[in-house]
Amino acid sequence: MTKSALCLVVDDSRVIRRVAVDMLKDLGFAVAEAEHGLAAVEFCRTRVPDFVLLDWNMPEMDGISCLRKLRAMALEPRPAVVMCTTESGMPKICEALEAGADEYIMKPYDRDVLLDKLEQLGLTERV
Amino acid sequence: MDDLFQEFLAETAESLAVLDVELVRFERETSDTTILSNIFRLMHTIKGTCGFLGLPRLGSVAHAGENILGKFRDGELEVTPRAVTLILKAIDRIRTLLAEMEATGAEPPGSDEELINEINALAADGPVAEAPAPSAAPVAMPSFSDEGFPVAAELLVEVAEVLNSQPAAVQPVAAAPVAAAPSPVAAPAKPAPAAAQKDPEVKESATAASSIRVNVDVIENLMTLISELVLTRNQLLQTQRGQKDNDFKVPLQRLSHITSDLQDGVTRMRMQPIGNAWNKLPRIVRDLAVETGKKIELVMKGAETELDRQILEMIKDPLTHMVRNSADHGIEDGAHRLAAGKPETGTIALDAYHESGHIYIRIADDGRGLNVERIRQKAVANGLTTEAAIAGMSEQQILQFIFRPGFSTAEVVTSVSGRGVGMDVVRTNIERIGGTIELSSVAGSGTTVLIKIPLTLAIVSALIVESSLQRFAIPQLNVVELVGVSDRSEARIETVNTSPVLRLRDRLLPLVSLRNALGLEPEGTSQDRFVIVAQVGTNTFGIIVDRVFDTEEIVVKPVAPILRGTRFYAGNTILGDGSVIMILDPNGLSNFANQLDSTESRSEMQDDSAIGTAGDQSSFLLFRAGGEELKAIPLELVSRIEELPIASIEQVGGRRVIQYGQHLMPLIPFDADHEWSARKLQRVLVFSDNGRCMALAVSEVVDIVRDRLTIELHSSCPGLLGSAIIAGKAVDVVDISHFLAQAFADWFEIADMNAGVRRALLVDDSPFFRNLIAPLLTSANWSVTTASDGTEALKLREDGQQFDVIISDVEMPNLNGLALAEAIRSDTRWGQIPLIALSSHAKEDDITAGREAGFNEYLAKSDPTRLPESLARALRQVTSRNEAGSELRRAS
Amino acid sequence: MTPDAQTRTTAAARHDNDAEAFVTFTIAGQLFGVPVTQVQDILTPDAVAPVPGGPAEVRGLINLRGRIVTVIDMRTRLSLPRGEAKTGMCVTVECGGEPYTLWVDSVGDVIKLPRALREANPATLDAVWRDVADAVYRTDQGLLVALNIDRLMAIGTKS
Repeated sequence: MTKSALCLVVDDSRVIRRVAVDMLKDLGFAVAEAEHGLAAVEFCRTRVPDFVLLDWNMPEMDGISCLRKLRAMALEPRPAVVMCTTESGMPKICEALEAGADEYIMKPYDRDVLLDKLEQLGLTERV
Repeated sequence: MDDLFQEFLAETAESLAVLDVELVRFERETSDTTILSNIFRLMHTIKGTCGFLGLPRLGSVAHAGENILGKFRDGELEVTPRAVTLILKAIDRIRTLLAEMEATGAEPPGSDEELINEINALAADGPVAEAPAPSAAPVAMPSFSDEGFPVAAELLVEVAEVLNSQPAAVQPVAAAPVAAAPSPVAAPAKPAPAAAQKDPEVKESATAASSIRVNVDVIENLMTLISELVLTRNQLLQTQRGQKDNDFKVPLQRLSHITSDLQDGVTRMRMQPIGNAWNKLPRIVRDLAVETGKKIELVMKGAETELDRQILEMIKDPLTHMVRNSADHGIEDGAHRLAAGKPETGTIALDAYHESGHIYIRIADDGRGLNVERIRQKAVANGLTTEAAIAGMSEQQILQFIFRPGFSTAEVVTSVSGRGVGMDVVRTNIERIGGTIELSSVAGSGTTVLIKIPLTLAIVSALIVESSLQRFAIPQLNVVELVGVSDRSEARIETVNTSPVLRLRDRLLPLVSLRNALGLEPEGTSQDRFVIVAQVGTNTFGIIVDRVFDTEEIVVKPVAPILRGTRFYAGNTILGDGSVIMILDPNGLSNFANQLDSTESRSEMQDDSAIGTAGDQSSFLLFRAGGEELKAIPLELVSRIEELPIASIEQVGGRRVIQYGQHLMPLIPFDADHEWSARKLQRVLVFSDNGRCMALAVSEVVDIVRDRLTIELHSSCPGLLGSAIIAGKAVDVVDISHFLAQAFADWFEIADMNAGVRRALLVDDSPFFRNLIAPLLTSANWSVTTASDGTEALKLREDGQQFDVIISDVEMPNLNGLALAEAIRSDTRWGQIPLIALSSHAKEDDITAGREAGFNEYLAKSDPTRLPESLARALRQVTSRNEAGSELRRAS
Repeated sequence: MTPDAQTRTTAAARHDNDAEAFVTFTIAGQLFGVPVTQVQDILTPDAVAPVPGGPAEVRGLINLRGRIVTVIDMRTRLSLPRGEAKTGMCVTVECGGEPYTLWVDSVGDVIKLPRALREANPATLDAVWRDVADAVYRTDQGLLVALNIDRLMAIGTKS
């Protein structure tokens, strides 16, 4: 039995975390949660997720700073990072990609959209 | 309604609460970017979650709010009160929608167009208007890292397509409401708290994941179970104590420790920071300030002070009410404040702290203070008191009328804080949980309210006592010591002014018999009993009970609502043996003790003893104050000897006062040079009359002796009547009326005369006595005429003079008192006027003769120190009798 | 009751939504009832702790499985003369989240009373009773006064 890929969901809203977690579990992933960037960084020190679903606006450490930090940590194996936010202006997207994001997903998303992104990243595994 | 929805409601409600507070903060500190980004993020999150849950209406309002906040952040819009008010309106609207959603389970139909348009209009009018549309013009392409972004290019294309097809404003909600909806449904409906789903490693490292949500009922049940566990543990320990060393001892000790820890843990679970009750206040004050055009700052200190959740619930409303009062009625508008030399911005300061098992909450404002005159008028107008009665009251006493039901001093019924009534409700609520509330105010400077409440309603140590075969519990916190009293013991119960007191070392403690207070069967003849020396605040007194048992740990359960009116009970509990007993409230008993002290001691009986003991021995208190010389005062005048903490002495209006039970007691030094004690405590002699007390500061209480008083009078020193030899020592005899007059200008208030000026005729051949008594009468608002003998007095009658009372010596030349009395009674002109006799002779025969001659009252002159008191009493009695008599006559 | 009325009664009682079940009890010879859904339990009282200085209607407090329950003396509450009997029975109800137990002379059966037998309080009913009664029922045991717990517990706030 192949091990499920681990996804770290990072968002300050527990409601949104729950929605995401439910979707991901449904897709067959193992899930962990973090309330903000700082918590996510701490988590990654001890365990490297296969990918991170990273929100933008958060207290303590926002998404972009977290992303930069994660990339600077040069985690092995390199986790894929999907940034999610409601802002869609080009400057924002570029900033995300420049900071090291692999994918970009707009809120609110649904299961299909998420699955689509994950497939593109080659992350989907059916248990 | 599924769990996700519930979570959404809860999370959003929390966010709104924080938004309120933070927005108000931000309005004052507009340069604080941290606050702004926090606010923005919160609003943004609300908008985001609305998208996921398919709540377009709510999302639109959140979006509008976020819009303005975004403009604040980008410097495109000025932070004006109007803008902030609009955002607050949006928050309120979201709250309203949430409430409806909670009730119906779905977003209510309808639109918030008006509000949203208003908000958007303001946003558009900003100083630097900018088209919100992100340009679709080509942007510099990002540089790719070496590793590359495999799908970045495709992503960009996708995004560009989306941008080209949609209008400028982001509409996340419209984009996928339908799509988002099925997802929550597809999700498994497990109600496990978030913590359970987390990877354990995340929980340790993630600082934010350190709390979980638990239903309140679950905690309550847990509390009850733990309390039962504690009681069972106690029972086990008790049982085991009787046995010798056995196998149970060690495990039982371990069990006991664990139980104690559990108990502590659960008690802590119930504690919440008082900030939770305060978090709505900044918004309330801000709105009030805007509405009234005033500038008000709310300062909150000690928000982290924790108290029991149940108590928090009960004081939430009273606190809000008082802050509203301060903001609405207390703080003046800017112009007035400046004119008064105050800063334009008024301050309301909240301060909470722990101290000796209680929580103190102070609410102080620097506004105009309470209008004592208006309160006075209102009190009389509302029939709560009479002009005469209130004329004698101190400011502090007048302020207390605010706590009476139905009282209001607001000039205008404002929509903001209503009539300003409810202080009676506030006090009731606070007293219900065993707390107290005090009010003080300085005209022009501000008002302060101090609330004191018990720390927890959980388990306390209590002393179990018995009276009349019924057991009661007294909180150990209030018990100072236990004194066994019997015929053989050193400690004795004595009577001072018909009230029982305990002479304990150098103190006189007033006593309350529990049987008496609770209306149980009166004591039998047996002298063996116990006195519980109890303390409530600065008030120490004794409770007489039949028996004393152990100290036990008890769970305090509040009394049922139907029993809340009884003032002696703070709660009830179940003992280890399963029996239910009441928990006594020392506060209530202390008040009862105070009442007894003043009313009962003024009974009719006192008259006889005043006359009868002339020439006999009496007890004197010897003390030092203001110098080395010994001073003396009849013990009977002294209500209590106390040691008051210097730290608790406050200055109000230039006078020193201290909290004493329910009252603020004035503290009078012996003379102007008095050095207030450099130590922590100030010894005082307490005098009380009719519910009012004053304290005379002394340096040392030397002794209590019995002797006859032979006084050599002189009036060279104010405060002293003269000197005497008592128990072989030369002492100065204190004129207590001098100090009473200092404390209360109207100490000798004569109640309920609503006639205008009252006239007294004083007949005495001795200038000394005329000089002694006349000022007493004058200070009690009597208009005094003097005559040096009976003949002169009658001359006044011929002149047509009228009086309300005639006070006359008996031994006089020309026409003595008895003859005068007969003459007065034989004539209709003065026939009904009350006559009071003053005599050096006060034996039975004299008194009888006096009464027969027509005197209503007969007072002894030989103890001049008691004269003011007895005179005051006599005057009260004759005038009230007279009143009653004339009432009857009018009626018939 | 006439055979016809009896048939009507039985027929009516067969339909549960046309009848209400009451716990019945007797005080000073009068029959009273409380809807069974409001009764928590019935017990023989043991060790009632008096509350000195409390209202006359409060007979005292008892320990009911760890809960302190206020005992209401129903004779006092309903202005009936105090009986001589030292014993009684208690019917436990809840009002405003607080448990109370009603001290009565004796507890009868649980009976189902059809709505058809329900009548408004007659004008001749005692003033105090009228205040606390929802309705009366004509039963074959006599007139039954159906009590309203909320108004019964509004002691001291009678209008």
